[in-house]
Amino acid sequence: MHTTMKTARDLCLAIRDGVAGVVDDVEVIVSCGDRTSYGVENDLIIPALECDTWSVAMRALSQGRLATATTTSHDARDSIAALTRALSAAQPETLATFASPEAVDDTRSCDARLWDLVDRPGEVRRMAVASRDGARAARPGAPLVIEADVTVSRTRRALATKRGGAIVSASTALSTFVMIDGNDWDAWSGTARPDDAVVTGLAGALVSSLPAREVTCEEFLGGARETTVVIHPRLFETLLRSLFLERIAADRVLAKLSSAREGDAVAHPSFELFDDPTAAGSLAGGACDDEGVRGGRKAVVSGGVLRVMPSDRRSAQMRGGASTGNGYRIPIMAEDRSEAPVRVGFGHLEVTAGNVSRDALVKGRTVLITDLLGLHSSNKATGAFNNPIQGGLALEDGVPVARVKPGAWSATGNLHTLLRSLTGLSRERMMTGSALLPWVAAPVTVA
Amino acid sequence: MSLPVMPVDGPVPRGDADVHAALDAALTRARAVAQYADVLYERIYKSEANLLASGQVIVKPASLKGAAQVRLVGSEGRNVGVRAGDMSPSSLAAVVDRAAAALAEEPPSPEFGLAPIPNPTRVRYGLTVDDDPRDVDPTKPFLDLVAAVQRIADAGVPAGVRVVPELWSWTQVEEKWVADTDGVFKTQVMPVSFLQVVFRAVRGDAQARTRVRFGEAAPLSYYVRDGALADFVERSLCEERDRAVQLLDARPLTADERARVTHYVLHNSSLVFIHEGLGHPIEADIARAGGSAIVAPDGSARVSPLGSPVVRIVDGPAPDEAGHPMASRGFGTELIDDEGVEVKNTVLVEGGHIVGMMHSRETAHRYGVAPTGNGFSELGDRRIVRMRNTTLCPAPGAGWADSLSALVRDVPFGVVLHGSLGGAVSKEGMSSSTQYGWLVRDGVVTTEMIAPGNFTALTAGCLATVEGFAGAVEAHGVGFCGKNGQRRRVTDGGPEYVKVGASPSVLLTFEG
Repeated sequence: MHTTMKTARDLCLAIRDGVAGVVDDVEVIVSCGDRTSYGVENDLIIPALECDTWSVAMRALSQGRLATATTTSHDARDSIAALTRALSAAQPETLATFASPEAVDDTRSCDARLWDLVDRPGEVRRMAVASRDGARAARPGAPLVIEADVTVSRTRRALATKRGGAIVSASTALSTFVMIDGNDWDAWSGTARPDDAVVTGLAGALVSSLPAREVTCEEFLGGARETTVVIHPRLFETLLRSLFLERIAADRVLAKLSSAREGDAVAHPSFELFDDPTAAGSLAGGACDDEGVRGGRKAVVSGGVLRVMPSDRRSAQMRGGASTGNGYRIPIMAEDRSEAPVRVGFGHLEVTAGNVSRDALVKGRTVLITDLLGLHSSNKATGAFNNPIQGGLALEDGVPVARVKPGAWSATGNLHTLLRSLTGLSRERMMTGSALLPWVAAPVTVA
Repeated sequence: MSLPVMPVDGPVPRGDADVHAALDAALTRARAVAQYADVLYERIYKSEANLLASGQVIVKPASLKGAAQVRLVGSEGRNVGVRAGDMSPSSLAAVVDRAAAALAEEPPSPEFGLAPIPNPTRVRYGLTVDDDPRDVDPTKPFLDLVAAVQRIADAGVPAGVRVVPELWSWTQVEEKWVADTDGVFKTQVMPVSFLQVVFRAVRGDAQARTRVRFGEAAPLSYYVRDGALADFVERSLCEERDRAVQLLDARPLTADERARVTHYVLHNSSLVFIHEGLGHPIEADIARAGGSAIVAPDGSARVSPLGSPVVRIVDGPAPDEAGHPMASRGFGTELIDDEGVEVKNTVLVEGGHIVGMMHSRETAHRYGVAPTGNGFSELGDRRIVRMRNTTLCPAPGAGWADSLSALVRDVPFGVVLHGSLGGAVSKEGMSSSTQYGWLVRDGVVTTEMIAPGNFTALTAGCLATVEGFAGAVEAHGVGFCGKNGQRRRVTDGGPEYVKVGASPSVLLTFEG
């Protein structure tokens, strides 16, 4: 591990030093990853391995202008040449300097057992097979269509600027996913190797938990209506990252795409949201953000009131403050992460638990919404969503009694209205891999 | 406008001799550990520009990406693929060793095989352009694009309304090499360019947005040349700016109106359901896995007929106005796939019946057919079945109207839907957003604008009520399909307007 961390550091510093003499400032991020993955398509087990996946993302400031370049080369000369060429196309930039981070080695999100597992494809394969077989054993003889995946990966990353670094990190990840009959799914992900049963038992547990009966909205609720639904933590995280951020991020506010201000009431008074870009053990936590800023845990929302607007270095400078450490190269659509501009994003998220059991969040007939199909096309400008429900359970007094029939339900709402109208937060919270969130109850129109 | 040239024998990728030598070395090593091996090596030179909502302009003239995929096939169908994310082909030998180690862990897979590569002796494929970004600095045309978009955003906007533009554009040269232990060696050079503009209209706290995209197997000069936008780009951007402003006052259909809708008329900017709802379920790997609602794992149709007799769907090169394939056109176009198979124009649905599927070499072997040139990867990832340009290309004759006016003449109450911000597919159906619509009353398209919505279709029934078409066929919908986490450039399209009767299989809902 330490040898390969050194390789990433050496490349990062070689690129930095190769251009530092001709620019006012330079920022270099080098990452290198390996991955071992086995997919399941019913009887088929499909291997997909990766090794030495390098990426280099570079920015340089010269005479008030910003130059940007990326490569996938581990030859410093290729990256230096790309950045040198980019200098001729540099554009006016308000950012005066890059960060000046202290050099540090960070292995907090690195599990030695996972690191080694990447080199043992047979073991990963056996986990994938066991997961598939667990689903079949849970419902013997049933014609289940099973898709699943087990992926382990390790990443070395180094960031340096002309005046600081390198921040070098090593991290690991394991993720597993299962989908049954193209509709109902579950997943687990984390930075440390869990008990193998978490992986191998995922599909079986999902199949066992699914009621046999399927219902339409007409059959179960008598037709379209606004009702208090339960939103799964994973869906809640997606909504927060894709829609809530659009309202409160400093770069969106500066672009006048949002009129949010600190002190605005943005959610129900019971709602508290924390952001921590450096959370150890989270897939959304790291040694620093993509600008070398080591942001800490902060209450973004407390008492339903917006307390802190997440910012990157550029938006912070324009607002006359310090970056909160939320500058990320967030890809939109088909951008690569290394190619994406720095945008304001969330790190690890945490919402304070409520005091109600998950099963007691709602009374009567309603639904647990696990996922919405095509949520990426929801309206970032307004916070509105209107999508078919994919996966989900019909609940009676909090107890699952049927599956939501695929293709027969949709959910319509607005996240900002929903946050102000929360009717409950569960006592239980789920670690999604990148957030620790409760199940939430809120009014949504289902049809 | 500057379109690329397709020479009879394609251009030679740069550094071809060095790559050839590295691939030969890797395959020599592979022969010692496998019965068959092939190697895909892809390299991209990309120039890119962003205009962010903040007004920040970023120009990236030189991004270099490369990756390889090594596939080994052992005895009794054992197989494994390894991606090497390194633009240096010299590292391929180590990748072969890693693949060999993983191959040793694989049990027999007797059903696995790879259909032969047709036309194995042809080597060169590709297009040549006169403004290759490796040789011609794209900075000025990118800045011309930015200035034009800012000018259009500022022009003709009503008092009290701001229009905030965002631009994302790139032009790239994609080079790839495919070689195998049977002696196949093929290369391709493709220029591809892309342009996306988002207009956000802001009035107080109210916001609305439109998005327009262009993509083509062409250089950047196809869109901007000598400081000016191509006419079709200028015209379209002005129209989408105006639509964004108009959307501030658009309304959703009421529940009562939704119940009264007799027809949906889909503009070809909103035909993503062809890709999501009909394309994906006819990909052979999805059918094989039991993930298709319309094709069974054995390849037989689960639903027949799938659509009305006027329905014909093809995947391949982009079609001309009459629906005939143009070999070198379309954002999803390539001349060979990532397994070295020449891209075929593949008819998927004819006369309303499923008549073919899209195949990689692997699925073609399983189904005992010839590969169709649909085996693609995202920069060295595992090759899977992917769409290219998937288009509703109805045969001439019944169902065609001369114009939109004629197409809606018998529509009592309907809506003409435009644009999409994307879609998604499940086993049973699909969902895609719509950007705006126009109400149709008593056979006439009105000026009543309908707000963004969501068009949902159940795959098995959505084509049954296709009643007619108007306007030229075009692969209009430029997008990036994300199947299995791999992005690929694609298009969808069809006639300018497609008329679909209301049925339980199609549903239009609106944002809250």
